[in-house]
Amino acid sequence: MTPTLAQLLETLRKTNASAEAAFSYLTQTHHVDPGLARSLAEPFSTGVDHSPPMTVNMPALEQFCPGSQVVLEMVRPRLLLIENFVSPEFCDTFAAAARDNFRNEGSGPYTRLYAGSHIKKAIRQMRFRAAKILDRDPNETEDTAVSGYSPGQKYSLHADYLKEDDPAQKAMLEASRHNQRVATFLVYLGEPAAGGRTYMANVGLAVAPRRGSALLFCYPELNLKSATLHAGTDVLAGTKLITPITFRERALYCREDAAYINPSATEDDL
Amino acid sequence: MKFDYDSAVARWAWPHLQNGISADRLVNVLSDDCGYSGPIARRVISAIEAPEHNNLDLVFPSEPAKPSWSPGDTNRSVIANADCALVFASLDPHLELVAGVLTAAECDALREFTLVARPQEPGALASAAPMQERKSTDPGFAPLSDPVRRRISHTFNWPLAAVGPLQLWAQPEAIESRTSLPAPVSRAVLWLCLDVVDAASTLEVLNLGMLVRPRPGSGLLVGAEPTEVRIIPKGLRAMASVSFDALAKP
Repeated sequence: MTPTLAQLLETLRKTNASAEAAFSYLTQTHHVDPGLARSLAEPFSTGVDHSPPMTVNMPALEQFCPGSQVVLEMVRPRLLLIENFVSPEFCDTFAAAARDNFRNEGSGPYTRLYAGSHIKKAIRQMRFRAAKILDRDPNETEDTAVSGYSPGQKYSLHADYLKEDDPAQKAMLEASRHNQRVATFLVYLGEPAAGGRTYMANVGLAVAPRRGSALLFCYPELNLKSATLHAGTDVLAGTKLITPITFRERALYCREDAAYINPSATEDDL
Repeated sequence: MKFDYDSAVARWAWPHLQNGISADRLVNVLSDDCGYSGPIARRVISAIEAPEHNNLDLVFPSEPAKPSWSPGDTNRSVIANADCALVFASLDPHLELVAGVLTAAECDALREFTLVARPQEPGALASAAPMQERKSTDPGFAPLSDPVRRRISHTFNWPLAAVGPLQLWAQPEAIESRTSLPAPVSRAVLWLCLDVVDAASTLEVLNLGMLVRPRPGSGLLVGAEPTEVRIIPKGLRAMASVSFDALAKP
């Protein structure tokens, strides 16, 4: 049986292949398209840990997200699209709150949902659930908020890792003892009637913001080679509600912090 | 669509910059070897030279343009099935995963028709073969196929006359060679998932290093251009396909 690309890359990782050797193996032994092979082989020369940092724990996915499905999985960038990460009823919580409680926060291209207590609990539940299905500590996720995009609003092209040459982001890095971001988990809570796609620029992939879905992408390399440049395209009609859950390399909160989540808790306890 | 030279130059220059070729060298190549205006080349290269601080929209348009010949996005206003929606789209290679193209009842009926062998029919499924194309000579086929083709025509904004016959596939494990579409006759093929899928049921898109797990009733639209797509179905018992032909292009 023909091995999958994932199997080929796993073989290469085990042998610590160089980029050149990886390219040769992919193209000559397995007849992978040279353009694709070049792209896949490139990380093997950098010395970084290019193994996928996060994989879905399928039993946990079934337990926490009944009816969900990983509908798309990419090797480079490491990307997963999960349908039904949260239920329509869960999303309705935010839609109802969004009718009255959005307010401008000044600089952003979006509005933030006022975090009443039930919204705060729902956000903690999403952080907990995202961590559980990825076998991570919930405290590796940053505390977050729900953002709303109305017609005409968009988020320009950017990468999510914290950059040393940006004073605000450098301060965030130093405050956390250089606990860098490693992945983004976008949860789509409200689906606009048109527009508002997440556009992964390096691979030309546009993901529709379907209510209840979640998009994970990882950036083990803290540069543009991680291929995770992305944008939120213009919302054309309706409102997009989204929660970006950002993972750090290690736990960000301890028991004394308000954002701390007990990893042994259940969702209802949060 | 107006050709955007600046964007084309930026897209060409971008990987070279990422690979360490200097901006001066790229400007020289553009102006000396390609006859591009020096000041314009300098402006374009400068705009993307420090991409964290400049306008990357030049390299990567924030909303991907759709080729004019392509079947369109899902047209939700003309179909009864309100669950039909785009899940994701890729421009090159051209792929669109659309959920809810078929209803659950249509999926069940087509799957049963595909998997249940009918010995009296020429071309009936043989269990020994890894893949069998279901022939459409069965009198029960047209009542299943016709409404589906009509809905696909509406959903993808493509004239019914240019929507090819519905083809059914059992155990479509070795289908890869059939995805080399004979452009420009076939502009795209829509692969429809008829089966219940699990984690091991995938369509592997080799060009993108991508695994797609379509739900039953979902369709993966695969364009013949700009880059040929190679797809391998795995762990799926039944699929259907239709081609979008160019002969009756609107």
